[in-house]
Amino acid sequence: MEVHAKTDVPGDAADEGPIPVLRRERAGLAQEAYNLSGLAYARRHADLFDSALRRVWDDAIAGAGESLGPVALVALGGYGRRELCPFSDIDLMVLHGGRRTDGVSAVSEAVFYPLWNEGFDVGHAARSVKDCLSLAASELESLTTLLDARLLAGDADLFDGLRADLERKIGKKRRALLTQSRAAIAERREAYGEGAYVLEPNVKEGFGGLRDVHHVQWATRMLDGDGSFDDLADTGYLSRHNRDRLLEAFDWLLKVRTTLHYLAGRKTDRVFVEYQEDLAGRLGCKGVEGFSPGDHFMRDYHEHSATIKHVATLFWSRVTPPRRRVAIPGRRQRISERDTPAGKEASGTGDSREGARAAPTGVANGLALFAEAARRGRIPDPDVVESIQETLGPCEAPITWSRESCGHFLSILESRGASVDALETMNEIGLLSRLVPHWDGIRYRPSAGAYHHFTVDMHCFRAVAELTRLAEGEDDRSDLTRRLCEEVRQPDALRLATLLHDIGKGGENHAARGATLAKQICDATGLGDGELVSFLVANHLLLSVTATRRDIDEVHLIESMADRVQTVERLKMLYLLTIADSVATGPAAWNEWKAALVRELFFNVLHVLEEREGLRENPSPAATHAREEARAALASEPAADVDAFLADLPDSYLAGFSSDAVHLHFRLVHNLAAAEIRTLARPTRAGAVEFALGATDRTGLLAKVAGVLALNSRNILAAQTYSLSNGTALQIFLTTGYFDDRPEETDWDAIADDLKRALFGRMAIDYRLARKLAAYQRGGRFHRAAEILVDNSVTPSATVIEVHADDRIGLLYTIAKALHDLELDIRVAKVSTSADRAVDAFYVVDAHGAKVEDAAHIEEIKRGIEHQLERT
Amino acid sequence: MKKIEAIIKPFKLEEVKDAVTAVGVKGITASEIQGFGRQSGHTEIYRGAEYTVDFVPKVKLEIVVEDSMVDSVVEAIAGSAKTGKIGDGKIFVSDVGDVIRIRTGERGADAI
Repeated sequence: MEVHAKTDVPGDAADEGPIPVLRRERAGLAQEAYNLSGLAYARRHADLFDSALRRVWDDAIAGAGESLGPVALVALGGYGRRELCPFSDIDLMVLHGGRRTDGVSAVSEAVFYPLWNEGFDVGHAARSVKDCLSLAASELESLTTLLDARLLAGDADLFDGLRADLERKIGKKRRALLTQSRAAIAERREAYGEGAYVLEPNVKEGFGGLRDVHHVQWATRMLDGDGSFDDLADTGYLSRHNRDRLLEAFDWLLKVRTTLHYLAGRKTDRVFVEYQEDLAGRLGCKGVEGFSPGDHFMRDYHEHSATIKHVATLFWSRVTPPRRRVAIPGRRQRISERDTPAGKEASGTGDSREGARAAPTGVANGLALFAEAARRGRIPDPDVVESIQETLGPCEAPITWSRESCGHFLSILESRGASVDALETMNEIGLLSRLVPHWDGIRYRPSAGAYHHFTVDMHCFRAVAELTRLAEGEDDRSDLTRRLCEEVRQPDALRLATLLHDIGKGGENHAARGATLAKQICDATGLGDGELVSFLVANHLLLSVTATRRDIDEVHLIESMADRVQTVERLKMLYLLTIADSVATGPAAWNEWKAALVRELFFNVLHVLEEREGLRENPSPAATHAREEARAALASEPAADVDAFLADLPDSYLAGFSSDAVHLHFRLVHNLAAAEIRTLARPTRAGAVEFALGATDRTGLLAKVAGVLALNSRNILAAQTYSLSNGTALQIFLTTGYFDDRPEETDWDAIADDLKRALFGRMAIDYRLARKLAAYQRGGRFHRAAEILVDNSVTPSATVIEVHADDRIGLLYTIAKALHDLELDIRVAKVSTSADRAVDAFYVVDAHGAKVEDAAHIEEIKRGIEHQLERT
Repeated sequence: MKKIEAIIKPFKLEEVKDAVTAVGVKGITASEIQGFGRQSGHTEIYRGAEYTVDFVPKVKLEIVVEDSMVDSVVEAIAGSAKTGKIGDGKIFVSDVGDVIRIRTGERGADAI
């Protein structure tokens, strides 16, 4: 290697010391920095240090004694590679012949002190060749630092000796070193995470950062190359095309790092959001359609970073092949059965197309290969990916989606573990943009907001993978989400909607915009039910926004949510999408607190929708499942009685109660004597108590029970009554206290006694309730007239009478009694209260078990109820 | 000086914030918390399996004010956080020994 013994200091500065010259020239370089490419800047910056250090070295040697022995000044690491950003460390080593004499120490001090005094971060060492080799043997990082070593001044023979020894050492354990390199890359990925796709990437250490290119260069040196970019293609591990892409991306990232150092005024590698607009300005990113300058810059950043990641992965797959790979028809099996480095590409040009002539080409075949690999939980061999990339054809060529293509695409979304890698790779090579219309609108797009951790495209990939995790029950303490995943009847549509849920990002109201785009995508590709996917995309924020900002116990809110969602099936999909979206966003967007709120809202809307659906005739698989569970819990009871009992009860009942509760209810009505009344009180939710009873069926039963509960200061939240074929009635009331919420203070035995007296006509409920009302009447309240609605469209089997009235003690009793007087049989009563207004719905049939459809009869019923309400 | 801590329903946060700002409160600390009082947790039943919520999600607000403002702030919170249903929350008022603004070193009422 040629050693520059002379410095090239300009003549007029010859009298100036080397450090002042360096200071002046660095200031001059800073003025030009933004006009230079990343590598050009880094090289010129290193050259300035070279010049200064050679003068410093000469002075130091001149000051040392005769007995100094062989010494040399060596640049290491990034400085050795001539890759100096404005505030990079200056790694230097004084190499000596063997003994660290006073002379060596004096020379070292004379070299290092001026740099320290100037405030540079100097990595410094004084070592013998033997020191260097033993350090290099002990850890990979010391070895790679030495791989970059460059002689600045001094004894060239000494330095060449070090290089020769190092190469011999490497030659002996090439494979082990390459394995260690891979491990180091994996460790770094663990420690620094992604470089591409995160919102504030680390330009050096992040995955897809500058360090990945260094590793490629080091590995080439370990394999007898010289590690230059030309060498990467010449040695056959990369095609020229990919070499050029790697070089371009590296150069761009290096410029980002240089600019970042200047903006921060110090050494920093993290591309924080606050620098991104300035970086955009300095790197000439002016913004493109739908992308602000800052977003434009970050999109370019991610694209370059992804290129590095992609090419480096390709390189490593050829250097140290992993064990498993996907066979490609018509493609020569390479690498797997050979050893490095003898197994380099035979062509010598590294043109990987050479062996790929018969390989499938084009978008559709590319998709098929990704799908084939995904079904095995992998992504295709990097060689295959490269050949797919090269054969994608011109961007404007239209894509024809076939049934088969749709199947392939959906199977990638479904694949366990591989979906993120597969989608990411498809994204990088441009396959996804070719397949999915409008995809480029979110490709590498940074997400706005502190909640987000990833770019929009990566966020969508992660959300899809999250669905798979949910299906495997990894997220929930309970197995609710796993069960919901099993029950969803159109999982493909859910996965597609999850991939597309943020497709509208980049414009106002991204959910609505995305819904329109999703519909177009479905129509153009045939990938799924456009209406459903579009609905899910449009409403993907509905549950999480409502859960945190609205009163999720408010009846009208829940009803209007139910109106909007319409079916249990869509609600389940929306719930799963909400969780997948939130978890994939980042830790700030999802925690147990928010999960509890969203789950609560989900259940509230679910109950309403199930009630609406449960009264329809067709049983869902879930209802069948609930029946089987109840049957299992009742295994100890007489089978014929159990069958009859379960046959009498609707799906909505079984969906609403645990199998233990069903067993308790069975005991209430089983083998009941004619005059017998059995009761049960058990605490359920939120300080509420379920009061259930079994009794011989008779009209007016509901009114009497409601009356007794009112007399005992129990507020009725919900009531269900069922007439069973064995002549008994099962009635279940969800109750709370009027005046306090402590269930233990209610004497349920006393209530049971009261009930018996009432049923046998020994208690004047009207009279007692009137007295109680007089004692507790809340004065001065605004009174609104009751509204009574009759609806025959809700269910084919019953008429629904809905009463909206001011809440008060004994309201259910009053209405039930009015219905009883009209000989109406109450099948189900649903009672709920919002603020001080009660909304009670009764599913009734007339004395003959038929719906009430005669207009005059309906009018009569309304009058009768109104009268009772006004009277009391 | 008093510290007013209020446990409220999550969706009431904006309303309460507006109400206390209107009576002159300058700063609020809000945290997502979970707990139970009389509302306690509850159990949802889905397809025969029980899903228990032991702790109910709430928001906790912490506000430090001069003594003269306590009543109006408490009233503002109670008025705006109320739905009349179970789980509306609670308000705690306690004495505060001193307040220090870190940036300037101001103490006492000036630092609120």
